[in-house]
Amino acid sequence: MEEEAKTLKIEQTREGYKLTCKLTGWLDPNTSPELVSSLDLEGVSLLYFDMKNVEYVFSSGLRAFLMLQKALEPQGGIVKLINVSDNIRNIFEYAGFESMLDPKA
Amino acid sequence: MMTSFNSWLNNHSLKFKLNISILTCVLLGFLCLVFLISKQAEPIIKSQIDDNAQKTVETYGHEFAHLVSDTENIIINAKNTLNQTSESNLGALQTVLNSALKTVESSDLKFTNAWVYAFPPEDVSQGTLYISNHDEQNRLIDFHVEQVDNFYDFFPWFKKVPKEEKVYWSEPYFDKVLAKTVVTCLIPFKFAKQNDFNGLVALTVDLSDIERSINNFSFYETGKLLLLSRSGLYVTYPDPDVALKMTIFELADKLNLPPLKTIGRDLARGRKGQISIPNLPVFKGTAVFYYAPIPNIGWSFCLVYEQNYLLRPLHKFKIMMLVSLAICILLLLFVINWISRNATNQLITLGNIAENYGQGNFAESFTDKPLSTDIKQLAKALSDMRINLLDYINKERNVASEKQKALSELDIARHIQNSALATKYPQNKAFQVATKMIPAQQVGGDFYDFFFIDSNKFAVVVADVSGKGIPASLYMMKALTLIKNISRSKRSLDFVFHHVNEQLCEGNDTCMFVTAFMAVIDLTTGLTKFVNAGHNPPLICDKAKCQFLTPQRNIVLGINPKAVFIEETMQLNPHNQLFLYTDGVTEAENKTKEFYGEKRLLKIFEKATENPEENLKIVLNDIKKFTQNTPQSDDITMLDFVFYGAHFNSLTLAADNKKIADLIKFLKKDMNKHKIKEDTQFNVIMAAEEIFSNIAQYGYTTQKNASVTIHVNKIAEYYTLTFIDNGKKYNPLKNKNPDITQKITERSIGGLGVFLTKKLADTLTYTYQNRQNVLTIGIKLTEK
Repeated sequence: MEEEAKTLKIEQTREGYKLTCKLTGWLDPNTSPELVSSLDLEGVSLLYFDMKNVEYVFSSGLRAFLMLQKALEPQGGIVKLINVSDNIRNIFEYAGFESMLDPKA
Repeated sequence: MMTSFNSWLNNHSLKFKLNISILTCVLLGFLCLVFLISKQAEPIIKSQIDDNAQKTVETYGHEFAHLVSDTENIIINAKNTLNQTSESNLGALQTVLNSALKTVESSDLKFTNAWVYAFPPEDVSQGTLYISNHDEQNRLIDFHVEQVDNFYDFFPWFKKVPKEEKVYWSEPYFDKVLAKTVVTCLIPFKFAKQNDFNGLVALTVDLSDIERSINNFSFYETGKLLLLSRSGLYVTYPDPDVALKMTIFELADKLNLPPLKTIGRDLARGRKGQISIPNLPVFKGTAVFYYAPIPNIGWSFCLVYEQNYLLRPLHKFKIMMLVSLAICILLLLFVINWISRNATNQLITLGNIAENYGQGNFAESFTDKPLSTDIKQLAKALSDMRINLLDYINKERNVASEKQKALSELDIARHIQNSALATKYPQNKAFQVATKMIPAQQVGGDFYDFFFIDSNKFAVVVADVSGKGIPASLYMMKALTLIKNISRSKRSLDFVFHHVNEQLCEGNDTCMFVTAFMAVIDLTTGLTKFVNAGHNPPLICDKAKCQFLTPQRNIVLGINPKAVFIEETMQLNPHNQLFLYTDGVTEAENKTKEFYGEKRLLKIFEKATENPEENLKIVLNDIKKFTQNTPQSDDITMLDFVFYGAHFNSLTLAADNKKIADLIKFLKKDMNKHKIKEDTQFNVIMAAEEIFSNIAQYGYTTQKNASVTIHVNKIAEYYTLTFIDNGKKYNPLKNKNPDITQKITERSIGGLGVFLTKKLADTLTYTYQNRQNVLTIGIKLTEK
């Protein structure tokens, strides 16, 4: 029941043009729209997501990242994901979203 | 014609037929009689009346002629005497008249007077008339002499001096002094020594007697006799306005009856004849006139009579006959109805009693019924039948009670047999089993069995013993027990069947045999071992289709003790099912002796569900629909085994994205139980979420009853998930893949989920059956 109560937690850290979001939980059709709507992208050109505590990114999560990327593009911003697990990395690769990932260390 | 009449007659009751036939005969007889009487009697009667008319006229004519000749004779005698006498001799004249009158007196004649008239030879009109005066006894009293100045005043028809000596008759006339109808007869003579006629002697005859006689005469009540003078004047006529006043010609004109003139002309010529005049007012119907002249005088008689007068009583007689016929027919009707009602009532009584016999009620007997002799014979036959039937029923009752006893023994046998068959279906997540057996007789030769060999191995058997009834059922018990017992040894199935066969062959003098199919399923792996002993090949089905297994046939059990049986192996996957049956299913016959057959069985199994009990009902209904209540000739036995696998698990969720957490929790728990690696678990959950959220988002148009059932299973090296939903038909495998080579910012946001699922799953199948989307994915369990 606790998962249902809160399946995604977002911690935002703003440093000038750079916005870092630490995500906890998973990105599913219920939580992904919240991710898009809760971020203030004004003046942001670098959007970092810390994926360390993310369990799953479903296709709705992929779509959310895509939408954010598209929103940042006019102002020359980019989306970057850090601390991505191998499993999630596989998903991004399957979907052709490798460009959002950090090159693997 | 004749046959249609016969069939018409047969459609009516005896009463009706009797009425028709008897009454027709009577009616025909009577009508013939009436017809014959008319034909025979009428002419006779007619000629009779004509004869009588002729005779009557002749008789009257004769009498009248007699009167005429008598009168003329007297006159002629008187004339002869006067011829010798001189006119002046008054005494002689008196004597002549006297003797003439004396002669008249002695005859039947009646006269009113007699006279002599003397006239000069050249003139008749003036002369002397000597008239006799006589008393009532016709005796001459004196002589009356009278000078006549004009003789014509008396006799207008006698104007000329007579030239020859002949008798003259006057027309009849009415003497007013005497009030009588009279006629005068006269003859000229010559006094002695004279050359020319100078005298007349006359006699006036009284006709009143004749007139009366004629008027009083009636011919057959209505017929009348008429006397006519020479000129056609009616001397007598019923109407006094006509008598002596009218001639027949005048009357013909008055009454407008031309035939009367014909009669008048005939009579003037002295002819006789007969004329019929129809519709004469005085007579009813046709009147006949018979007429004949009277000799010498030129007068005639005419008889008028009714032609049909004598026929009238004949007509009356005919009417009376018809009336009596009607009465007779009524009487006959009554009598026939009474007789036939009596007869048919007895028959109906007999019929009712016979009907009672037919319904098994033999209480009523015939002996106390009053019956007519001819029906007694039938009653006796029925009575004999009753006695025979009662005897027969008693015998049958004894036989039936014997049978009942045997049947109750059969009941016990059936009970024992039924109790030997497994009935309690095991409750197990890995499979469901159901059986159905419908014996053709009270005890059957078919049997089925299912039992656990150990906690992970489940055995199913279906077998068919040759023959039927008690012997087959005893043999069946033996086979059933052997198979179960030897299976407990946990040895291979070839071993089991070999030993069962060996023992069934022992002492099998009656050469009975058993066909059997047995399978043992490993519930963890689905690995299935089976052996066939000459039995029908079972059906094996997965979600997509069914087919007949093609096992080794092998020999039947119980024939050859050295027979070898080969055990075979196959893989049962989750949601596969195995359907075992006996030939009672495929050889079920309809009315045209057609078999139900394997094709129909295969076809009906397309409708199979995952509920084996339901499946058996579907098959059985299909067989019943085919056979249409044709009596079953062989036992029908079926066993359906639906396999889910030992690791089968299931969850049903509302089709709502809010349930994703529940889905993930269920999957994690199930996979942890099977100790599945984290990476694989991640892939399973990823794929499951994509499929579930896809159904939740697009599958249903309304949220009411929108749900998804997920079956999970681990079988061999795969973890499988099956998603079942009742939403609109949708095959995700046909989805177009998104172009992942495009630059990321140009990508559309749809189609990713299905694409990811395809990437993650190792196997993917989709079917649409029973209005359900069924999508199964399998993910390989890797060793890492």
